[in-house]
Amino acid sequence: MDMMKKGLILMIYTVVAGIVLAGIYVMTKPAIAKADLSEKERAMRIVLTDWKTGERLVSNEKISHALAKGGPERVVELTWNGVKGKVFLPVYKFNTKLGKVYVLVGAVPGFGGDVKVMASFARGSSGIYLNAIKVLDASQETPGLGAKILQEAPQKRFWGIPQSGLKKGVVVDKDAKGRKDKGVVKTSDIMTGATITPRAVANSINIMYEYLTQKLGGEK
Amino acid sequence: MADKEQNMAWYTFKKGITNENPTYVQALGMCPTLAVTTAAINGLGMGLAVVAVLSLSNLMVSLIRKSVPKDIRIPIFIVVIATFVTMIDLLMHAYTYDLWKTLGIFIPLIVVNCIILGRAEAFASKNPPHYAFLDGLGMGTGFTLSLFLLGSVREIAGNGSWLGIHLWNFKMFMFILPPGAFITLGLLAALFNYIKIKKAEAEKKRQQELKKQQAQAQKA
Repeated sequence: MDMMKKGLILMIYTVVAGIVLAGIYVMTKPAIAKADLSEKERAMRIVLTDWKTGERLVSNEKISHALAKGGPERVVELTWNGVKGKVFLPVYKFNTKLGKVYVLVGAVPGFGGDVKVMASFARGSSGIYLNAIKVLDASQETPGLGAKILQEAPQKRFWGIPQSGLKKGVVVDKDAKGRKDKGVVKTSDIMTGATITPRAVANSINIMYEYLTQKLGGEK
Repeated sequence: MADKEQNMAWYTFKKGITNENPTYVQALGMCPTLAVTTAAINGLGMGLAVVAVLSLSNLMVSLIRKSVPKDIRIPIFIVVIATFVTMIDLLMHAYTYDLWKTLGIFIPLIVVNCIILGRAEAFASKNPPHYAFLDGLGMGTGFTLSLFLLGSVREIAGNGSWLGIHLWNFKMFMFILPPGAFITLGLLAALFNYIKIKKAEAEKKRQQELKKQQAQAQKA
């Protein structure tokens, strides 16, 4: 009898807690969705600038519209040269003066967890090239070391990689092994002591390029 | 009487910051202490989240203390704490997105932070609500200050900056990495103990002097 009473008391507490939490969840749901979306929107505004001139390629209204139309996120797992990664769909397409620009998000494990990168690839007359990237999430990287990738300067090192570089695969200078082409990104001077995080950024670019070329077909 | 009450309240608040400081004296809640304090701002953010959870959970535990059977008090306390943590996680996700992202996994981990269950069990379940609230506020403030101090030392030594403001180019990366956390914590704990011992010695001396003076006065 005593057991039953205690069980009942415990149940009352958990039910009350559940109801309170459900209330808070419903209350914060729109705000959370808005915060997540505006984060994506902010990132998209950054990657949709011309890497050479810094000029905006797509208006804010068009970006909001594309995001609203994009629908729910889907994940595709992909392997590139033995590196496992993910590509988050949908791929957003924009018509700009650079030609067609594709924006997508990819992720590859870094030091502590997935490093999530948004990238814009432009399809010009000379083939697909990487226009710009924005690191969305590197929260599991070591602060002061790997997490420095969240700053603007190291990210901009990855901007504007031509197709010749993408074809060979993007690498950071520590992994270059004598390679001296446009696919080698120098990060070792501003990301001292951290190799794994920028390597994850390079590989997520490779994964996204791989996905895009598979989808667009035969243009690799 | 009112004076005594006020003194008691002040002591309840103050002891968490000084005499019973959770980090340096009680050595509680070491997991977040070591993990998040790579920068001063992270320590501050984590600390403030703990202040909110700890004072609210202490208040709630104290309010329900008479209706909770002894055998099932721990599961009930955990339900209360987990509810508050989830609430704060949702609210931070919705309204303070950047801070929420920085703190990442550590917000859900507040549930298992032993300071919170420790204070619920040792203090809040035995004292009236207003004292329990003050105890939570004091312990939380003590925890916040400890994390802020630890984070400041590590950021200054390891990254040459404080609160993100660049100070100099001399950096010892070790301080940002896990070993630096243990070393800094050890040195700070030693410093606190040194101050405590010196204080006790001074007090002892003062009382001896007093006794001497009294003895002399009696002789005369």
